[in-house]
Amino acid sequence: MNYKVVLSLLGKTLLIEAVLMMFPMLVGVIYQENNFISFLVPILCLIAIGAPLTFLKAKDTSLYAKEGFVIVALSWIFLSLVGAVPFVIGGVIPNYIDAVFETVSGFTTTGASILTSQQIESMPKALMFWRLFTHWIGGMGILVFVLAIMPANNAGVMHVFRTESPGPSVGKLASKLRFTARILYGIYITLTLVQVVFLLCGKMPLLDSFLMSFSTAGTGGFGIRSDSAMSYSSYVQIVLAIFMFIFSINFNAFYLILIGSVAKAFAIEEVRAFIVIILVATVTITINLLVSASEIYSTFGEALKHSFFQVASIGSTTGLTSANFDAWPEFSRAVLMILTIVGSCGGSTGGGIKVARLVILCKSSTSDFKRLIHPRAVVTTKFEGEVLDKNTERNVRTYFILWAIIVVLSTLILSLDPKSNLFSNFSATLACIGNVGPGFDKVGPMFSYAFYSAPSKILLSFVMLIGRLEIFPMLILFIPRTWKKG
Amino acid sequence: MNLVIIGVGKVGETLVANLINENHDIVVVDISSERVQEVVNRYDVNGVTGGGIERSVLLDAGVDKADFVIACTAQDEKNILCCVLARKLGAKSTIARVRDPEYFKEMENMRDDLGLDYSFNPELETAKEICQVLKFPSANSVESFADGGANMVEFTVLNGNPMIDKQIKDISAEYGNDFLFAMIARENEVFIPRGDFVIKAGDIVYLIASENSLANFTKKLQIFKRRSKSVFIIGGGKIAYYLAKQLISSGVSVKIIEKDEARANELSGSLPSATILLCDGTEQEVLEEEKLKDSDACVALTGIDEENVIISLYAKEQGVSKVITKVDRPSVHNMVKQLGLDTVVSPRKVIANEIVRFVRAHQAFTGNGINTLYKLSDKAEALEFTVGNDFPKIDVAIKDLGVKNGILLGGIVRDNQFVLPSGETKLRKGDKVIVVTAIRNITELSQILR
Repeated sequence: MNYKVVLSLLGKTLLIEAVLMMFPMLVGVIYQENNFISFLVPILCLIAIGAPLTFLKAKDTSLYAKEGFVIVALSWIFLSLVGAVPFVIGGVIPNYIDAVFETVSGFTTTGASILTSQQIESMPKALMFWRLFTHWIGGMGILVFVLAIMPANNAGVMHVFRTESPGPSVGKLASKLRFTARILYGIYITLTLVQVVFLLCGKMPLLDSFLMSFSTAGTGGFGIRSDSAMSYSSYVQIVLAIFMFIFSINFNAFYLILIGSVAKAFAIEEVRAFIVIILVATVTITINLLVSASEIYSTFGEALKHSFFQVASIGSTTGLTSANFDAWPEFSRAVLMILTIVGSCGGSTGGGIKVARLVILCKSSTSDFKRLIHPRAVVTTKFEGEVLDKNTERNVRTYFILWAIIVVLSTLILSLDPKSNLFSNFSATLACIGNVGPGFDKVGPMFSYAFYSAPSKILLSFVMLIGRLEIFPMLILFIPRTWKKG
Repeated sequence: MNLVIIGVGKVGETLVANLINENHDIVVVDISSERVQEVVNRYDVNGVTGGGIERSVLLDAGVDKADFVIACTAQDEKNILCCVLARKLGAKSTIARVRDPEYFKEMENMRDDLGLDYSFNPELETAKEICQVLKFPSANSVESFADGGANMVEFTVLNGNPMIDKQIKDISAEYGNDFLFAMIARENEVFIPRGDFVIKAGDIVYLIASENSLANFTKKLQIFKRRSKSVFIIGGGKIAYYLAKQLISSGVSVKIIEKDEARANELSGSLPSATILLCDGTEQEVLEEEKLKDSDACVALTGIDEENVIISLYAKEQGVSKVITKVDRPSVHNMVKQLGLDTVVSPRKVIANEIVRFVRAHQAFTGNGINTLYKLSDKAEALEFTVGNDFPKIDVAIKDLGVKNGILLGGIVRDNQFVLPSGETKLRKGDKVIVVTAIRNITELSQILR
């Protein structure tokens, strides 16, 4: 373990967070809310811890896979722990554990909230900005941002990039990592601004437009109204739904469109599969809503709008709601639960186990079946036009197994909570590990996570981090060998 | 610049390691996805898996926008084809590794037809380097500038050397003022020395001078060794072939030990004046029987680093006056030198110097690019430039040039004569200037000025 390199990168990350915290402070000053002290304290703390760390000079600056994992995991934990402080000092969320839950939920772009509708309505603008801004920061990843701006000559920074970016196989867009990170952030910022413009056209106030764009861009799902997106106009709801969908597509596709190869962008197998999933889910839910006995929506248009919004929201793992989908028929709820598990594309800002992994799992299982029938057959599994290498295939399977184990364990431990019930616990676990936010029953769209006890909230925060960082980095912290020398 | 390197075996990876430090955008292509993965993890480059002769793979790697495409897969034919295809797709310059002696002979004629800018042959370059050392065995290595007009030699200062504990200016005064201390390597540091620098035992010093002055200087220091007249080569690969050919043409008697019968027969056919022995070079009895200890020099060129080291240690113990060891892995060079084997050659390192020079020469705006480049270590290099019309300070005395810190003018070759530069020397048009520098990425002469 090369502690010096790990700590100096961690220091840089903390300094970046200090800079990012100045934005909400500025919002507070503009709106004359007199709450800059709630940001100034954590900013000073971050500088006090971060600055000395960046001066650590390691003789050997090369990073290996292990250091990459540890840097990313530690950075995210510290970011969340410090990021929670403004809510406590600002008095909005007096309990620190609640504040940490809310911040982790923000950074991991989960959008699971412990706030009551009254707390949301009365929140000062600066703190609301910070709450939504965490989505935007966490969406693309803060270490990717660090890589984009710092001249990193360390050998092996690729490990850091790969750990923070979601998906089974992470590639570079440009030959230099720094430029890759810049391209990604460039696309991210541009798309966010485009969404702001669209929302402004729907007569949404400027600050709200930014905040809702942060929420969708990071595929987070915090709302600025207590009813999430239910009370917005149809135009705004459709804009939100479309952008949720856009931000959950692999960013490689946007890069390919940007450099002019549109055909290649739509040839990405994962993107195609994702579009099919969204289409099928939308159509089946629309039909289910229209033919169900309870007749929730009278017109086809209404049913289509709400089903597309909800499918895009859950499929992209954002978690905004345009309707109380927990009251929908069983089949629609089941489809939404499956979407919670699958999630979005790798290389996007969304969560879930990722469409790419699902496709690989299906294909490699099919190959195994072929081998059962023809034991001597030589079977290769192809993905994105190339033969899948054994390592990726094994890695995806291990990922899926660990994912299942964590879901089971988390559901088990949550059931110790006296106020909970089994289905809510299962749903809450899925919603947290998939970074979706709202689930069903007690954690449904009309309720919050507030009823859980403090230990359960800590567990769920951890599960959210596991989901965002894709399992391995968080678990590796618990393996003693990680911390040993040599 | 955008570079595409096709084939990242040993040579390919060494190229990546050297070129990434020059701040290029590099994409590597290899048929093995594991190799690509390893290289991408180790260096800040992009990777594409696939064969180098597939149009789609080459386009994925961006050869159409590449300034350089360097093909160094294991097969010569493939390298040539890669380059032809890359050129067709729009690559600006192409470089191919061509090692087979028969192909390489024809390269001069074919190069233009194939659209190749440059073809390199690590084995031939290595053989040339070994040959230089055998001509002047007192040095660990000899690098020549301006077509032999000046040489830079590397010595290890062994115990008992009269230079120890003396200042450089005193050494110059004592042994004649016709050489220049270019650089001194001590442990893991390098110094571009000033007059008051004191030499210690174990230092590795780099001197620049003409061939004659170097011979005189070493004679005075009593470390002069006669030019090798009989050379014992162990391992009959491509380097051995090229080396033997050059040595024989300058009248040296050559013995080659090769253990593969087919190869030995082949060598005996192509090198009629050499003695080819069919046996295992690691067997001491054989070496004794063939009187290794009576040769002037022993060159260990088998395909296995460890074998080369063992053979060299044995030869050294037998009292062979010059021992040259081929070690492929550059990372262990220092370790081998610690064993007392001071002349270590590596085809990879030789060729990396050459390619870095070629790429950097293309970066020069004026066309007066680098003629020669030697990396002395990770931190210092020696470069040769020709003074052109565009050089802003022609006929200005060196002391008034305003040369940057960390740069030393190591020598001037004027009309094929070596001139030791002093403060009063003026640079003229057409001079070939040797620059020793600790600053990276110098591409033209004017960049040495402040």
